[in-house]
Amino acid sequence: MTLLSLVVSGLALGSIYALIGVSLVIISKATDVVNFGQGEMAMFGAFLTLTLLRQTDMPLWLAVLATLPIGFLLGALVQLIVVRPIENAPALNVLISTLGLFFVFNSAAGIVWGFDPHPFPSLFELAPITVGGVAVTPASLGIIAVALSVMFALYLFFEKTRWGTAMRAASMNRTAARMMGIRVEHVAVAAWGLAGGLSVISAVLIAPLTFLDQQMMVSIILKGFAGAILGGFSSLPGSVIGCLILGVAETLFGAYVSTSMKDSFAFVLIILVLLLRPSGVFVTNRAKKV
Amino acid sequence: MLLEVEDLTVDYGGIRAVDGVSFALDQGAVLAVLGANGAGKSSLLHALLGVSEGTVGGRIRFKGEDIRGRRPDEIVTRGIAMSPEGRRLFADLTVAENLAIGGFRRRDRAAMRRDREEILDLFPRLRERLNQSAGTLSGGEQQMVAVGRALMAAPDLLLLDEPTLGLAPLFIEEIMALIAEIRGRGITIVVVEQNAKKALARADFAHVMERGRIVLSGSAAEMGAREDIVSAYLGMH
Ligand SMILES: Nc1ncnc2c1ncn2[C@@H]1O[C@H](COP(=O)(O)OP(=O)(O)OP(=O)(O)O)[C@@H](O)[C@H]1O
Ligand SMILES: [Mg+2]
Repeated sequence: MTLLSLVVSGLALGSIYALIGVSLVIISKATDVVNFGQGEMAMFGAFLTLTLLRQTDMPLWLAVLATLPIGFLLGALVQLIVVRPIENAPALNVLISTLGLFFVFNSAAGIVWGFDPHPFPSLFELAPITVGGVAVTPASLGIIAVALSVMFALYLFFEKTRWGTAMRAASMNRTAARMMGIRVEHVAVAAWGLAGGLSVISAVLIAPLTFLDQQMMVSIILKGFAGAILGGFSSLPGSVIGCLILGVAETLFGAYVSTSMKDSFAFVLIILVLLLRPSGVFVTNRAKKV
Repeated sequence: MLLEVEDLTVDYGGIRAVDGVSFALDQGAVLAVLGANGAGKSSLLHALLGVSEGTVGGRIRFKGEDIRGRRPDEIVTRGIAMSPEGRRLFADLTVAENLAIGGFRRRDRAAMRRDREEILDLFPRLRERLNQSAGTLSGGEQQMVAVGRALMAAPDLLLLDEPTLGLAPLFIEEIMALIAEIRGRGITIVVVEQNAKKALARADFAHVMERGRIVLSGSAAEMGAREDIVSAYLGMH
C-alpha cells in the first residue's frame, strides 16, 4: 500500500475513534463523568441494530439511521437509571459504576447474542478501488464521510441552536445555567443520549470490518479516549483532530514498524503527551483567556 | 403586592442562614437589602429564585401565587431573574450567547430581539463586544453582561446580588445609575449591596439583615440620612 492509501485508512480508523472520543467528551463536560462503559453501550446498540435488520426487512441505510435513536435511548436510559441516582456520590464511586456498565453491557451482549463474531452488513464496498492512482476502499471513504457529516451536524447543533447553546452553558457553569432557567437534569440526559447515538454509529461503522462481537469496542474506546486526551479532552474539535491523528499515526506505525506493537504505540504516544503537554497538543495558552 | 415573603427560613444542614424573614414589595419599587458578610442576603435571593442549596421554609408569594418549592425554570418563566453574586457568566460563550441564554425560557422571538436592542442601548460597550467571549471582558463589562443577561428574561422582578462588587468607582456609578433606568421601565428590583450609601440613594426601601434576620427596615431616604444607623449596622462608608 502506498503512503496515501495508508493515510486514508488511518483517517477512517481515526473517524471511528473520533465518534467515541467525542461521546466521552460530551458526557464528561456535561456531567463530569468519564463513562468507561460507552464502548460497550455502543456494541450493545450495534447488536440491537443487527437484530432489527434480521427481524424486519428494513433496508440497511435505514437501520444505520435508526442507530441514532437507538443509541440516544440507550444513553438516556443509562443516565436516568444508573447515573442519576449516584450523581452526588464521590467521583470514584461514579467511576466504578461506569466500569460496572462496561461489564453489564459486555456480559449482557454475550448472554443474548452469544460470544461468536457476527458478520455485519456494510453500507459501503469493502474491496479497494483506485482513485487517482491511490488504492482506497469505499468503506474507508464512506466512514470518513459519515463521521464528518455527523461532526458537522454536531457543530451546527452546539453552535447554532438554542438547546446546543444551553448545553454548552450548562457544561461551563451548572449553577448559573439553573439560574437562567435551564433544566440541567435534562441537559445531562441529552448529553448521554447524544453520546449514545454517536457511539452506536461508530460501532455500526466498524462492525462490518471487524465483525460484531462482544469484545469489538474494547480497544476502540481506549483509542477514542486516548485521541481525545491528545486533543486536550475538553474541546470537541480538538478531540476529533486528536483521534484522527491517532488513527493515522497508528496505521503508519503498523505498516512501517510493527503490526503487533500497533496498540502499544498508541498508548506510548498518549503517555508522552500527558508527560509533555498535559493539557493536550492543541490547547494554546488558556490562562490568558480567563 | 408583587412579592410577599412570610416567615422565610433557609437551612443548610444545621446552619440557619435565613431566620424568619417577612416583607412585601409593591410593583415598581426598589428594595435594598444590606448587611455584613454572611448575613444571609444571597441565601434570601437564592430562595426567591428557587435555586437555594438549602432547605427553604415559609411562604413566597409572587403575583399572588405560592412559588416556594417551584423549580427555577418555572420561577424564571413567571418573571423573576437574577444577576448573581460574582456574576457567574458563561466565560467561553460570547456576549451575544450569554444574553441569549438569559432569555432561554422565552419563545417570543421578535420581542426578544427588541429587548436585546434595548439592553444594548443601555450598555453600548457590549454592542461592540457581542462576539467576544465573556471571560475576556473587564470586570465592569462582565457585570453589565450579567445584568443584561438577567434583563433578557424580561423579568417583572430583578434580583441584583452585589452588582458593584470589585468594580472601579466609575463602573460603580454606572451600574448604580442603571438601577434608576431599569426601574423606569417598571421592573421591580431587589438589590443586595455592600455599598450601603450608594444603594440607599437609589432605593425606596431598605432592610438590614443580621444573622439571617431583618433587624431594621424602613424608607431608604430616612435610613440613608441616619449616619449612626449606617455605621452601626453596616460598619462602613
Ligand atoms: N451552599 C451553602 N451551604 C452551606 N452553607 C451556606 C451555603 N451558602 C451559604 N451558606 C452559609 O449561610 C450563611 C449566609 O450566607 P450568604 O451567602 O447568604 O450570606 P451573604 O449575606 O450573601 O454574605 P456575603 O455578603 O458575603 O455575600 C453563611 O454563614 C454561609 O456560610
Ligand atoms: Mg452574598
